Amino acid sequence: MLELRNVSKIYSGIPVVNRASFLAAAGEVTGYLGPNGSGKSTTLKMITGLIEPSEGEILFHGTPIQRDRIHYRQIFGYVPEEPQVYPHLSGAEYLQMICELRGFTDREAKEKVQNLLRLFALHEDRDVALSSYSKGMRQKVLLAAALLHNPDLILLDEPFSGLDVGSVLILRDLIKNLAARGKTILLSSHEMDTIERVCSRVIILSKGRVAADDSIAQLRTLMALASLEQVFSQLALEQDTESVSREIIEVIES
Amino acid sequence: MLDERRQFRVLFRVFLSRAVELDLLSPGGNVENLAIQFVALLLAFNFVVAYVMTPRYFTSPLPSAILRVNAWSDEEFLVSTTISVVGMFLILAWDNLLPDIRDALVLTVLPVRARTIAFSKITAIACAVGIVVVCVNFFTSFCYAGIVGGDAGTFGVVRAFVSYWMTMAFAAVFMVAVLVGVPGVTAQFLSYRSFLRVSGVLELMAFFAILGVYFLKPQLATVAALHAPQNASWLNLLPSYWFLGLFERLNGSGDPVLVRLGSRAIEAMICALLAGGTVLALVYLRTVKKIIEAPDISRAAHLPLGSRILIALATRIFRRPIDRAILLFISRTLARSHRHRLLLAIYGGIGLAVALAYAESLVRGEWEQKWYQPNALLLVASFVILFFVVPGMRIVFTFPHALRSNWIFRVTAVQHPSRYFFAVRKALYCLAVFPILAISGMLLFALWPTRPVLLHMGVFLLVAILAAEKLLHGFRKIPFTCSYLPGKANLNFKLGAYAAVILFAAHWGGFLEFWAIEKPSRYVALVAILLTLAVWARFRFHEFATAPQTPIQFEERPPADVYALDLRLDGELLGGDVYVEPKSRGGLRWGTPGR
Repeated sequence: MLELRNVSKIYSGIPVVNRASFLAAAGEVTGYLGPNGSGKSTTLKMITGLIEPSEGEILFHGTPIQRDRIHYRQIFGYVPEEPQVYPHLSGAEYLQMICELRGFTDREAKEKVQNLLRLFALHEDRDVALSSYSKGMRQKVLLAAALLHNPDLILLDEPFSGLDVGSVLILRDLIKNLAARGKTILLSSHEMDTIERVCSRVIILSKGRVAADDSIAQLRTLMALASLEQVFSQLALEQDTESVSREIIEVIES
Repeated sequence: MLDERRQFRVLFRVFLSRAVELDLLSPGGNVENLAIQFVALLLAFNFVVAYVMTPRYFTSPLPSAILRVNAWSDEEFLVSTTISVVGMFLILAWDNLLPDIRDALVLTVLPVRARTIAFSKITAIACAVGIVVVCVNFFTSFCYAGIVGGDAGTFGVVRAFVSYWMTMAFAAVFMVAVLVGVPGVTAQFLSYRSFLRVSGVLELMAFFAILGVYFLKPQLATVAALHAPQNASWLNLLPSYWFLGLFERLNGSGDPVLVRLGSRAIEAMICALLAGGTVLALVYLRTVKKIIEAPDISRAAHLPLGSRILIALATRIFRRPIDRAILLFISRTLARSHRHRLLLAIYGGIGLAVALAYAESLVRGEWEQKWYQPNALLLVASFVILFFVVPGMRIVFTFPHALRSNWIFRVTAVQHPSRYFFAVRKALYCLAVFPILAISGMLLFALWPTRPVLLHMGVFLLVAILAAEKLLHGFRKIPFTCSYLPGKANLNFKLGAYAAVILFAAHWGGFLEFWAIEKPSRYVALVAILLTLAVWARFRFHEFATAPQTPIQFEERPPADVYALDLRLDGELLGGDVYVEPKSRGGLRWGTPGR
């Protein structure tokens, strides 16, 4: 179980994440929603240890993650928001390198990489430089890299970005199946439809603060709204989308 | 209504700011700083040249006619330097000489005519080259105008001044036309992807060609050498002598050889200009279309042979996965990153050129020693290459590649940092130290008897170990993954100072070793000293690498005046963490850091 206790990240006196507290249970997919700039990716980076919280504590299975960071790095997998990969390496070379950095033997690494590339439909392009890959293909490489060591905690920041319909459907099933195997999954996405289908609980972040933390059904009932999209609009969006779109057209036409 | 002039101005500014590879700048660095450093370096160089070379003409009692003839070698040196500096500048700007995929995809969808793009790019390159030519000739142009035209009064000085600048401008135009023409012609015959691969090779070839010609060309700027029939073919091949002829011809020289060379310079420049212009027109008419039509992804049927050999070697040589990962990451980055390859080529190329200059002077009989007998000069040459390539590679390691991708090293750092540091050391030995040892050994074994070569290889190995261990002491980074301070240009301007120290050390080191090889007692003493130093350097490196408070460094930060009490720096490992040991087979087990 992943737990955040009053976690804040402050840059130049401005809190990007402000005293966020929530739980993500094992065997469950927890959705993490929020508008652009609300602090979702910053939270995920704090959970990975890439950046340090200014305040608060992050615990996994009841242990602060900084207590044994090396062990912690072995048990989480992370897909970042931006598909930042080494563009001069091929898909196979990149995954092989990650396996070796994680201490896999050559044989294990090769076997794992070949199988993952085949299952993610990248096998034919395995020796092509990542700079030539499409956004969706890079996303698949990142997913393979995040999962190849069978992590207990899976942090997914916009994992559906750039994926084709078939891959989205596979990934949805994969996430659900991984959760069913007891993995703790925190999924950040802007796709309400996917979140509604995959997640059992959602956390809605607004201006760095947790605005809601409940099951989707409960949120809909409490707020008497028909969909998660409406709940999200009500809780996290400050603007009237209709009027903003009208103003944009006015600017374009002026 | 399109305002082409305005579009031209906008594009000119963009292309001018991109004239030198922005890759050479660190993330956040600014192009103005780099430009100012570059201009200052060239001006300083020219000032030193003017200061060293010209006073003797103004104080000499010799008649001015003789002084003018004596000045030929200096004039040839200045022309040759201008051509080489322009060539080096164009190599730094190599990827921006022709339209690339950015131009094709961004500009072709905008309402901008191809001719506007072409003219603005050509003007930007011409402007940048113009600045380079002015900087590299600024002080000497005044001095040599006085030396060459001083006799004929003001008219003579003005004429010599104008001739000087015309000659340098023509030489620069010739070089630009050649260096734009070569990749331009290649682009006509290859697909865009193949061209990109070949272009990197062409760039390196051009670099070594310029460097080789500059350092190794024969010195023929004397009356006797210019008129010697056996030198005619050299004179026909070397552009610096053509433009020397042009300069003298413009100043009224009637020497038939110089007149002929001057005509050759004009012919060569016109031919190069016509060819370069035609190629550029073709590039804008055909290549841009080819770039857009190139498939997004081209599937490789199988791994290239080089990659397969590298993987096989790494798998056989290294038992630890992390050693393999680091070696392959470094070698792939060096092979595929244009910027790193170029920087390494600069260091290696200078070392090679100096080494060849030593070898050439030996072959030409400038020393008493013979090249086919054990001699100090070839020992010096081998040290020069070692002292340029190994530190060069260490410096190249510090320049990041795809910095934002380094997160993967942070989240996978499950082994003690010492494992990474030892892996980097092994990679430096495999990629720089051992290849130099092997090549030097093979060359010397082919030339000399076995015994002196073996003795030299013993000393060479110890010196190489000492250099490698010393260079890596304090290097807490995985190569190419640590940020570089903003505003710092990646061209290392300290190179001049280091080069002087390196050349001094190599020169006297080579002579000292040769002296030691002559007597066993001296050799034993030298080896004992070097062995002690090498062991000490390895011990120090080991001590540094395994220190508990030595995290891997991913951020190059200046020390803050006031440091916040952030007791754990973002993403860094601090001492006290428990790291894991990779097993030879199977997963990971817990262990303590160590070698």
